[in-house]
Amino acid sequence: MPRIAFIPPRQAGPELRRAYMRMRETMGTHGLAIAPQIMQSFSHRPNLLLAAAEGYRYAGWGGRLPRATRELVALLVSRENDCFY
Amino acid sequence: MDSHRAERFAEGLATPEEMSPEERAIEVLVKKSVRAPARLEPADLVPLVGLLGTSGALEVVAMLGAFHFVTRVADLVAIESELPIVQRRWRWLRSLGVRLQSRVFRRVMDLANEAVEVDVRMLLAETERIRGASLPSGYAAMHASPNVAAWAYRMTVELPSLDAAMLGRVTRGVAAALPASEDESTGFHARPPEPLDALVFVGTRYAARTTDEMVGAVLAAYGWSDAELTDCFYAIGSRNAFERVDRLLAAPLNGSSAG
Repeated sequence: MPRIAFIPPRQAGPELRRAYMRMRETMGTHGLAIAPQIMQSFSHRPNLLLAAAEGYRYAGWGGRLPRATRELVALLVSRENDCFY
Repeated sequence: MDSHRAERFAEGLATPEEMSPEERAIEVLVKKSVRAPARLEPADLVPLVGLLGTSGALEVVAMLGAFHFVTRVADLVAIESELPIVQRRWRWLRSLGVRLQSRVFRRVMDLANEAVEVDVRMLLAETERIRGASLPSGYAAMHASPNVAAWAYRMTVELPSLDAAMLGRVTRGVAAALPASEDESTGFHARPPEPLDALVFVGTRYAARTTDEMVGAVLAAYGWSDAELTDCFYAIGSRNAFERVDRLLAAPLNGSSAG
């Protein structure tokens, strides 16, 4: 069970709702109303939610490195850290 | 990457013979970033610069930093997966869940690379200002990789509830806890007695071992709200990213030309 109580999009106040909407645009979810739990974990700090989402976008999508190479880095860091996420 | 190969890498079954030179170099770098990050140095990037060019190596560094951040936040908050079907306990269910999750994300997210056009000089100057310290000289190579400069800038945020003293404490705690050997990243070690210092120590060395009791002790000591705890987790995660990135970029990147 998460150690922080998430505020999901449907319960968000105006500032957080704007952050969720911006996050969806940033993450390219084709307008679908999804909010990954890792992003909801920042729901008490909309500025951090946006920083994390935009930072993730720049690292994961920007530039020219092939997608498979990026996924390999992510997978290996998770594996080596024994992180199940 | 196809799901069969991804699974072999995830389970640690991929042999050096079946990896490309780039994959081998990435695995070596990632292992050191987890097992002995205190000893990371610019020389660790030389093989990647040779194989992927300066911008490719920097993009690997950004992903590495991004996922040291993400995995720490996930383990500090206690998020195991985005889908309930992804279970740690049974391998077949875990495998099925990971494939399903991958398929869902591929359907709902645009996975194509995109060009990033930003003023790198301005972003690095602003990153330096927020940090209150000079950036390592290797950051200058980010002029070849605007997305990496944008990542570093975006992740460097001011945390309102952590004053300078508290932020300094987290920063120093992460740097001091960084493992310098495999034993330090996997063994059992005495934790600092103070609850926040203990959380920073565990969150840095082996965040997957974070317990409700450790976080509860911090909340009892400081009376933090969820928002303040969020700041604390963000600080631990981002410091873990940048302690590694800064060591790798402690000197100008040499090797091939950009990109």
